Amino acid sequence: MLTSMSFIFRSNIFLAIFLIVSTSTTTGDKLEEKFQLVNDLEGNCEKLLEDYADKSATYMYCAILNARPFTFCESCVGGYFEVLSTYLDIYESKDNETGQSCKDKLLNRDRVEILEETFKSLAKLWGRSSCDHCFELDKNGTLTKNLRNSTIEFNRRHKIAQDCINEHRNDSTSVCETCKKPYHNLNEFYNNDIKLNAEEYESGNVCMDIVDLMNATRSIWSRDLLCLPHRNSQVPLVIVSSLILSLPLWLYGMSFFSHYVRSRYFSIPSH
Amino acid sequence: MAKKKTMLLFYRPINDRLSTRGTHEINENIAPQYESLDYDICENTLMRREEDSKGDKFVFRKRIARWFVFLLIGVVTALIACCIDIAIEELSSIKFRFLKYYVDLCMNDRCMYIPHLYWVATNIVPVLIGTILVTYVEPVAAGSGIPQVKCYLNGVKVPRIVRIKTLLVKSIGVTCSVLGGLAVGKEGPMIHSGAVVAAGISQGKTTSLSKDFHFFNYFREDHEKRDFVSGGAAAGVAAAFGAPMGGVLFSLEEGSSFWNQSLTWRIFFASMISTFTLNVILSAYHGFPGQLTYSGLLNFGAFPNISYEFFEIPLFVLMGVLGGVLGALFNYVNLKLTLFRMKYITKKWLKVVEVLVVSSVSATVAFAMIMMIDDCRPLGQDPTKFPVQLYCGDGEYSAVASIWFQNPEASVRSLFHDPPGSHNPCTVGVFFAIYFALSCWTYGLSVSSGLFIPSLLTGAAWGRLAGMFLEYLFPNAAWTNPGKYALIGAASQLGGNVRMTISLTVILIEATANITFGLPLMITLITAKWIGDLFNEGIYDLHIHLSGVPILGWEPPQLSHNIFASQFMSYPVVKFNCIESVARIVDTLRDTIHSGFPVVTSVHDPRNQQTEAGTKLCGLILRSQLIVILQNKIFVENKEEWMGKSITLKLFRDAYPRYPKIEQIYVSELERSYTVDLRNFMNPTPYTVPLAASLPRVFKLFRGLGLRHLPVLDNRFELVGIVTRKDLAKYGTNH
Repeated sequence: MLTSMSFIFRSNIFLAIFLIVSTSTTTGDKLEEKFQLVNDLEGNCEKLLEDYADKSATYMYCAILNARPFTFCESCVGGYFEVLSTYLDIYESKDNETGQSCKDKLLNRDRVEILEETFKSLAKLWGRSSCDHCFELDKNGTLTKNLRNSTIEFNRRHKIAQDCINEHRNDSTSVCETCKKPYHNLNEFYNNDIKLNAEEYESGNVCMDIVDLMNATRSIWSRDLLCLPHRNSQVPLVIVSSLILSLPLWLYGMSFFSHYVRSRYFSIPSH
Repeated sequence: MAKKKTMLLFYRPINDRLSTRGTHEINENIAPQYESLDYDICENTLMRREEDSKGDKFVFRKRIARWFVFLLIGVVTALIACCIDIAIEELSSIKFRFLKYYVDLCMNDRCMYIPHLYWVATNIVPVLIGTILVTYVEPVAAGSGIPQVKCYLNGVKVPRIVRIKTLLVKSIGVTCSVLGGLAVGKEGPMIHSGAVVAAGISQGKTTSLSKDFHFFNYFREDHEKRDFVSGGAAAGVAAAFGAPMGGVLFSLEEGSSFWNQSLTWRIFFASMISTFTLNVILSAYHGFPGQLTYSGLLNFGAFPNISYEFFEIPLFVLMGVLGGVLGALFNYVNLKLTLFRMKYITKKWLKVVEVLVVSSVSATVAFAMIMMIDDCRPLGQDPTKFPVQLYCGDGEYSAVASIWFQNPEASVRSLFHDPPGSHNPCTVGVFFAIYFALSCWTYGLSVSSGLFIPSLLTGAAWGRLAGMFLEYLFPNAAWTNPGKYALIGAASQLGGNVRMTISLTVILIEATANITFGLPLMITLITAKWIGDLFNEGIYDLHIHLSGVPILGWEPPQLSHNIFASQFMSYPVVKFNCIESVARIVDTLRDTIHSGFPVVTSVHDPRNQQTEAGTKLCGLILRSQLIVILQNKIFVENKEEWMGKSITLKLFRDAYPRYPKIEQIYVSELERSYTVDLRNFMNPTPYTVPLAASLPRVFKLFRGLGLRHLPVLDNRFELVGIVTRKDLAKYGTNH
């Protein structure tokens, strides 16, 4: 039993050695092929690769710079378009010497897929910010760099409100009253036009630039300036509530009492 | 001497004798209106004759039909559950949108009392419909229905429990009461609906609408019907929680006293079909047609990354203890309240008024809580269907309002699944106190109302509170997930209230699609049950005992082997002779309320044929059989009239389940002098016990065989007494 086990074990070692030798020869082949490939990149595909590296670096740089306060969409829309077009170029161009498509040469070559992954993450950033919803679409339904009318209008109203707040900021007693109108203009526009519209047509996605600006303004308004809706005296509410809350007492008291009276009445012995 | 002693034992007043024993309390509160079901098949001549005439084909057809009926039960139960679900969903979303609109509108003006009044009104109107239906149309539809179904499956015929009218009132009633903002759930009524559906479909006729479809008439007996009803209850659970296994186990745990393996398989089939149908319809309703794995179908939502550590198990046990104590408190308060109601709130209009008061107070308390507690959360992080801003800053919503502006079921889900930090401890604490009181106050009102969801919600609230506290104690620990503790709290509160174990564990496992969490759930539920049982019974059993239903527990009373049949049997026995005069039968039926009568024949002394040596039991006949005999005038003297017609079991089945009363049967003066030969109709081989049979022995016979009457014979095999379910139920039950 033991001997046969050790035999199998030994034969496995032989097999392993054989495998190692044979694979090392094949890797040698592959390396040569790879050197070949690098040489090939001297053509226009290589240029595209370099181009893509530049563009995505710029775009990433822009994104990080505009992360706080959030102005990513409006600031980096140019960079995004360039990254997009370069990546498309890689997809569509051919090597002018060999005629092989750059896509075959650069994409899907290894399991790490740096190009695809970086592009995915860049596109994801754009998508998660719902940046598409800040800009106009042209007739064919493709995205343009022009801001939407609603975005422009929002920015206009925001500027008025922000200016007003900045101007009266130190005067905390009157700022709520003076800037109420511009602030409400902005808030109403956000709630009724942008938000409702988005909910109806764009499954609730609102351009993140707008959302963030609105959140920041609201936070200044409600938290910093404490312009909260003041509690009115709720006398009618209190009266109505206490009336209703006293109902159980009436109900149970009355039914208890009436039962008590009835049982007293019936239990009087008849002479 | 020995004989004298037994005689003495006989004739001492029964209570006197028992009170000396001391250990066994006698429950005198057994209501007379409840009758037993006849689970035991009456093997009379007619039945034997019928069996002779049927072949294998009939057996095969009956078997197929049985499966088909279970299929139908599953489908129809799920359809009803869907109707209730969707109706509640749609109508309540209209209601809350309306209320939100007015709350938002009134923020700036001084008119907060207007949304409040609207809230009270939108509560009162549906609740009024619900309570009028329940109070005036079908009072048996009140409450969750689980106690009644439990009694039925235990073998007690609760009047009107499985009628189509009850089904209608129940399903409309529960929709109304959930819609009316009462602290109720729809699960219990769904289970009851399943039971009614099962009883209805399997009979192929409805007496309420007086329509006989003339199919499935071979299922028209208590034995078959009760099997179907246990399947229906299971299908109801399956539809209510999306838990087919839980349904089967519910039926097993709460319901059927008599169980066999092939029935389990059929019941599982019905539950599976029910869940499947429900999922098909609801997935289409939610906009994902055909996606049966759509996660929104899970009742309490899936817990994706739930994990627990060993050291948490003592915490779960502690929470189980708390749940048991709170559950016992709930039951105690509810018991006192129910007693008060039984004594003082007896008029029907008063019951309606009480319901209206509860519903308007529910709205008021909720509104007051919303107005008083400031708990603002930023919008967009947690899913809230109707965010109300109220006094919060722009872009925020009131977390208190969002708990109240949804159905209790949705609140359970949000307490389970909202991310950590989305609730304020103060809000959850106050909510718990209010909801505990409201649900305790609401259960027992004259409305259709389930208890599962309110208990789960109360438990989820304090469970989440506990989770938040742990989170506060161990801020950096990964295991403190308030949602997980909310689930444990919910389980323990529900376990403390209803004291179910296996079915509840499995229902919760299935409704959250989480098998790994089975152990903590089980530990919590067991602890809650044990702790709760130290104080009182489960809420369903309390209500069953309050209404005086003679229910038999799982096991005979403890330490009762010294109680003999002679002590608890009823005597003297009203009996008939094999050939009995019509006059005596009619008079006896009119003068007594018994439903089974032993049939005896006199035995002559072998040495002297002239003197009667005593009587001998030769069978048992039921009141219902006698009624059918009288109705069809099957007398000895008019034999030529009915001999031509076939007297088969069909005659008895057609009258099932509602036999006429004796007063409704006209017997002429001439007919009174006729006689009836009972031998063809009676059950010739009833089970009997000797006088010395002990209580546990008799109890096991009743439970195991589903008996209704058990004649007691003395040592000369003469009939001396009879044991019925009520005689046993007096001894109370041990679970």
